[in-house]
Amino acid sequence: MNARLVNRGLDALTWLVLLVMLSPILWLVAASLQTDGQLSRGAYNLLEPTFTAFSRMWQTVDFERYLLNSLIICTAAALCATAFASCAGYALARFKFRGATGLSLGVVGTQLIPGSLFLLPVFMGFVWLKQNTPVALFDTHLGMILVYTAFFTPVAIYFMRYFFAAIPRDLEEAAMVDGCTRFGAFVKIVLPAAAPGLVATFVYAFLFAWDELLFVAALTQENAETIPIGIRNFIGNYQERTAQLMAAGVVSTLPVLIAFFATQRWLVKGITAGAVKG
Amino acid sequence: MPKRLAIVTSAIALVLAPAAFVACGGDDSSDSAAKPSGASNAAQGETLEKGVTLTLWTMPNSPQPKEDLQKMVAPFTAKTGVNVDVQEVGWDVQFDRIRNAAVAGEGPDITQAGTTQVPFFAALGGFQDLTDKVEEIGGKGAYAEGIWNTTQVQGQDGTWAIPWFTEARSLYYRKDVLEKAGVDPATAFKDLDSFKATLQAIKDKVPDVQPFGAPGKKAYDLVHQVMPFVWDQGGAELNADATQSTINSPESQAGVEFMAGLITDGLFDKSQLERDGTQVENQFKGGRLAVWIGGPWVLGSIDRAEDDTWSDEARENVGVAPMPTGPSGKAYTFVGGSDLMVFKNSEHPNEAWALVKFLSEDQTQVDYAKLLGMFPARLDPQQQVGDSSENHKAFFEAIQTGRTYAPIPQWGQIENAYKTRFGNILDSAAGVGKDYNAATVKSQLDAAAKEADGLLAQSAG
Repeated sequence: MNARLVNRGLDALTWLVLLVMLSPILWLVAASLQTDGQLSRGAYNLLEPTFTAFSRMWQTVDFERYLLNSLIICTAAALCATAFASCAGYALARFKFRGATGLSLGVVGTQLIPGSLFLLPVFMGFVWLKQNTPVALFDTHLGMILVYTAFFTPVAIYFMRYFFAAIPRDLEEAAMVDGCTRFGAFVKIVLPAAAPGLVATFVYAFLFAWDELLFVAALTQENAETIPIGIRNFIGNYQERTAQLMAAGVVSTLPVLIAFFATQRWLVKGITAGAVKG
Repeated sequence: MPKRLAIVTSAIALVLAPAAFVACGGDDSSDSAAKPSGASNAAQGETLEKGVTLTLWTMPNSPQPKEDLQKMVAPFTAKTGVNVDVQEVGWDVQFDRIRNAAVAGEGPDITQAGTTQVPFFAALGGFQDLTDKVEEIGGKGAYAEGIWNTTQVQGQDGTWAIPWFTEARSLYYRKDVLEKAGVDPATAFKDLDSFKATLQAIKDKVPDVQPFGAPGKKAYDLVHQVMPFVWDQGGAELNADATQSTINSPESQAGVEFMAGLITDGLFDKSQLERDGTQVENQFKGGRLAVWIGGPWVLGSIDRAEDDTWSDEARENVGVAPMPTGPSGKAYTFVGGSDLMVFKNSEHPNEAWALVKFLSEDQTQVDYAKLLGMFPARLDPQQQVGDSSENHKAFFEAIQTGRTYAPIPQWGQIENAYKTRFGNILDSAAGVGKDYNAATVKSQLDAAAKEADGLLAQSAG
């Protein structure tokens, strides 16, 4: 009886915590369905939602450009980071080679330096390249993809190394006995077994790039600006379009939600669950 | 074989991870980047090159900033064959972007800049001195004095910007509320005493509306709200040669205390201190505030039906009065707005200047200002807009006598220091933080002055 009460109490607490965590998101959605007038007076009318903010936001700010840029840059950067990290992570997890410890330490060491310290050199470098060479990195998709890939690859290597280390060697060895090359075993056996790790790394890198403001503010001017830059244009010195800002918030959360729910089953799946069966 | 794979895979990771940083080049990048690209040599010829494209940075000024301005410059392109690519830069990032562009030499041809930012940007050395050209658009005489000062840097020769559009602050009030309170609008805001008496009358007789409100430290323009009262009392932000802060002088303190006193007297709705400028504006538009200090853009929104922040009774009863006269006998207000600056690195300086000239033409000035709900920067078109209604006339007069801050590169940082301290003082008057008394005000202003003096002692930029 007592245990049941405690369980009920804990359940209630869980729901309460969940509600507190979700309330900003609920408020975001509710506010996006109101007019600026209702928001400024605090006179919310949740029973009669309006979608005006969702239709007007595209005219006020060139939002599709920011959304598209974000999708291109974040997807490409997350893919590159995951791809490179799986190669490096596999090497570090499986092979003993000269400098392996140094490389591991180096990878972790990059994380000890605050990222913002790189801003000025990267900025000056991009501008120098643009002015003195045909290499176009400043204000281009490629430049931002390179920066985000470089930022996230060390962490991703660290992640992937542990995912690979947890996969039994027997799997690859069995494949190689059956005639697979080492690379073939990596691609056909190890990578599918590490799929949850790959997905987790991809999603993490994608979310990091999706929210990043500091670098994109300095390294772009027009062509490669992403959502964190664009969403601020709803607030001017002389006018604030709060409802549209909220609508833009909802729209920019959607791809992230979709990405999360689409990959959810991978994220929670055990690493090698059932892999050695049969 | 395994060893080879190991080397290849780890090499990929090694090369890639620091690639962006390695690729940034050496220490000499700043030197080469700061070099002008020889554009100034091209400035000799007077004919415009057809087909070139100028890039113009603008901030979110109007309902559809990019499209509105693109339409505005279409006649220029039709006449000259010079294309204009309007790019929108948000207010949150514009300061960093313009500074970076000026320092690195990688930016547009022309940019909009806030009037109080011009000296800072000018000091970076990335902008053209327009002194030789300003006579073509009438020079100093074509602008009100306060506006023209925003194009200069104190203690230096040179004209670094051309005023584009202008705003000044005046008192907005609700005609119906004043009527209910039994106050004559003609004398209601004549001087500081009658201003206070009017607010008291509203408080006593019209209980369902708050007499007055102003934003707190969240507002970018808090200093613009407080300084008119400081100027009224004979105080100033800096001494005449801008070498020392005078914000802790007895006169300046009296000005700040006047505003804080409105809170302790219960005439100033203290909940407004949690809001920024636009949010307080919306409180006035929504009918919660009877009196408020605002700029001309609010007048432009009265007729805009889609602006649903207006309540009906507020929309129909808007009155505008000049700021009250202080003990010094003058009525001070803040005058600001935006200027245009031409980058030194522009590859098309002639065309860029032609565009600045076009944007300074009387008709373009009137049309764009109307779209923004602002005032033109030039005197003649300003007069035209001022004559359009009684309320506009109040703003026109405010602009002519308006005052701005000392044009020095460090002003932006000093304004920030003042903003924090003013915010603290208003908060303590509202019962948040330290107890409100003369000693608290003095210590906050002393701290602001000390910070400002430190900034003044540093070299510009």
